[in-house]
Amino acid sequence: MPARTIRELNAAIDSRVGTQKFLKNALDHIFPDNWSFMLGELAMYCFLILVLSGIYLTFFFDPSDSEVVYRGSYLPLHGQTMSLAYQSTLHLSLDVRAGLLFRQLHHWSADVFLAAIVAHLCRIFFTGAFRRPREINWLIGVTLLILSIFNGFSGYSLPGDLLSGAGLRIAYSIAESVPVVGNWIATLFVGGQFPSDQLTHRLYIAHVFLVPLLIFGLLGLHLALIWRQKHTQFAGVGRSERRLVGSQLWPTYTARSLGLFAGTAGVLVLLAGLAQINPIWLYGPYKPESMSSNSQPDWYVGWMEGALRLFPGWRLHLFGYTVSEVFWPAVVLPLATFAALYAYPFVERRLTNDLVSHNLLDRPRDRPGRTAFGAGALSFYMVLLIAGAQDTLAHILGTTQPPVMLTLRGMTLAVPPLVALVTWKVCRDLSAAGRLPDTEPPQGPNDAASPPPARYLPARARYETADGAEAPAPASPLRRGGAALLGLSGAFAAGWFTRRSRTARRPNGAPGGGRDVGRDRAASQKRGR
Amino acid sequence: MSTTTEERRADRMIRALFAVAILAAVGFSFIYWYDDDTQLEGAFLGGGLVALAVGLIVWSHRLMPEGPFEEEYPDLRSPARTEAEVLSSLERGGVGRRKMLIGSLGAFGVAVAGGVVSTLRSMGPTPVSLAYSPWTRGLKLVTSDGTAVNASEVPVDSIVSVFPAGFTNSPQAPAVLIRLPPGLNHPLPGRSTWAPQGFICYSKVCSHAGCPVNLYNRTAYELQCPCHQSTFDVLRGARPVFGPAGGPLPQLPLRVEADGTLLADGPLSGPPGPVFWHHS
Repeated sequence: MPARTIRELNAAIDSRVGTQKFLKNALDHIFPDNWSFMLGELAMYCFLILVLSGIYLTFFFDPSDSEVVYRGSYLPLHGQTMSLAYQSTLHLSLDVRAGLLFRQLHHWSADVFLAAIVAHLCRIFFTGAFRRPREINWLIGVTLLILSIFNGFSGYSLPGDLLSGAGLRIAYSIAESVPVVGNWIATLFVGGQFPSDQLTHRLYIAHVFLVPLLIFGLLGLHLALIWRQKHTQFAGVGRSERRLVGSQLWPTYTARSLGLFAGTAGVLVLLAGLAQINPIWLYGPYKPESMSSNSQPDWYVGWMEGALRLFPGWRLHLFGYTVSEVFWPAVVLPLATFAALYAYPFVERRLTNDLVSHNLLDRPRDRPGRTAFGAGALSFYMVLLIAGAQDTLAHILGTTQPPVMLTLRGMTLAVPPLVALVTWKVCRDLSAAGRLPDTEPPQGPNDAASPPPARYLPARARYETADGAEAPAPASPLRRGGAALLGLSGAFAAGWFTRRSRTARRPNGAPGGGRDVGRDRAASQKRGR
Repeated sequence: MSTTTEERRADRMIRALFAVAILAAVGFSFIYWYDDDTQLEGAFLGGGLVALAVGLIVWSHRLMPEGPFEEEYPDLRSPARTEAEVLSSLERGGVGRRKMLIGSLGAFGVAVAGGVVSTLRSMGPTPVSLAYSPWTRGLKLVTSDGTAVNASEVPVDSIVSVFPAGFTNSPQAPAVLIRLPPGLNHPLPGRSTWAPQGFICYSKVCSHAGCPVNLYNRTAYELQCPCHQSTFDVLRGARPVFGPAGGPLPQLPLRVEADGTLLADGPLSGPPGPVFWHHS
């Protein structure tokens, strides 16, 4: 029996609201156990940490483009003209107690948030979880991805440092490149010519209110649909299209989920404290005439950056009008990417004529076509992401840029089909191996009541034990913890490696000029205040 | 509560982890108040949270019901009778039959939405031509702080960021002034007088995506944009030789006065920055 206060509180609320039926249902709600089902939750917890750390930052950040002359505590920038936004970010980073910790926590969380979303998207895609009846949640999920990328970019653009200003300048050029209405879009978005005195203000309200509100609402809908339709599961003993097997929400799943929250927060705080990210005081304020080499956006924009770098300079002249070379990689490619993502479940349904509902997930190997397509597409975007740092790559490889760029250009064309082909072959072989008749044990009694759809039978059979009635021993907590940790650290590692490394190094080809601010100034992370 | 040895051991382990978490959190507060060292703050708070996470996960695996529990997936499709009831409720009062009314309601919605969307027009002024450039004949070349550039101060093979006097804040204005060794320049037709005494000047706004073309390779005489690596041949009218740019940087004709003052001898050879729809 729970403690008396709990019993009394429960009775008090129930007698007024009538909660017991709902609570009983909720506490007994079942979630299937699999580490890969935690990726979406990881993203959700990153969002929570983003909101909490972001609220802290709003107390100190001033979203203003007004110009001031810096007279603060960071001597290397003394006397420089900068925006209030940049000045307040400097103050927040270098003078406010724990300010840098929260700013870096916010930035790291954003990078890991997007990484978790993409990993979650891959899990959903490769296991076919988007199929009927869950297409709506797929559409919501893709929308959440777009909103999150936008919000990441708008946050990156707020501080008014050299990199964020250059990023906005590129975004402005991209808007300009749209045929016919480009100038109008760019002007209305910026509120005049770039850089206008309203841009930071607009980005700020979008970043802290509009987009988070949309994300919050859609996330709620996303979760409500999972609750209503119940989670998908892999085939296994006792599991079928009709019967879900897993852990109860209370207490097991709650403890596990809170553990994931604490773990996510813990790793992010460790990164925030120990791994420097976006040291804006080294970059200096934005000046239209300044930029340094090795400059890259955050990783989730890296594929667009890479596309911009690789796409050839093809200008189209049509009846006296011009289409910029920027239009194809920076407008058409992202639009096509997200359109393809939105359309995928419906295209696949059309191609496979698969009209029934699915609660059992596919193993990727059992769907060689889909898996090959997904792997090929992923490899394409990976090549673009790498190309987003082609100058740094050439520097690391100790070579000049042309061979690197030409290789990457070739790779965008050659790698995806190659990866797809190899994936397809591997999947076919793995799947065929699982279908050998002598490895197929008899059906367990658990499944007698509800026969699974015939087409997935061979794949499922491999999971079942000979005597069917008994559940397999659960993997040891150590192993599961290890797998979860591996997944988590993988996500973080992804963020780590794609982290902006733009402490200015010697540019390629020993260029001379450049009037970059603070590039060569020694500055250490907040010490000796 | 704890009955078996294994459960007692798990209980002890979780308590130890939670104790670590509490100590680390207290340590974080201490550091915050005492010294505010970012690294130590992160290590303590993060370490404490990780200990808490491990404790919670061990608890869930060792001391909580593991199942397997099962339940039925819901039948999402409602019975035909319920569906029919919903449909008949929707038809109450013959709402669906009044096509004209529904149509005009829809038209009203479209009209209002159109009106509201059109107010987005207030978001900015009427766009100015993207071909705008402040460079005109006779303007002095100055540096970002407004001091005039003198030919005697610019040694051969050096590069300076320059602006038209009075327009140091215009984003369309930045240009690069390079002094080439004599005899290297291959001027384009009609530009033979544009680079007196080896002084050559191009717009600094990249013709690709508008970043400043800020890197200069003085052995190959190439300008490069650090954003996307568009590279331009300074000796041949800044035509693109590498990277994604589809066109050259506009060139500024120069004149050197007797006292060494550098002046623009005309406007840029084309609009600065990326091309756009109405680009000629």
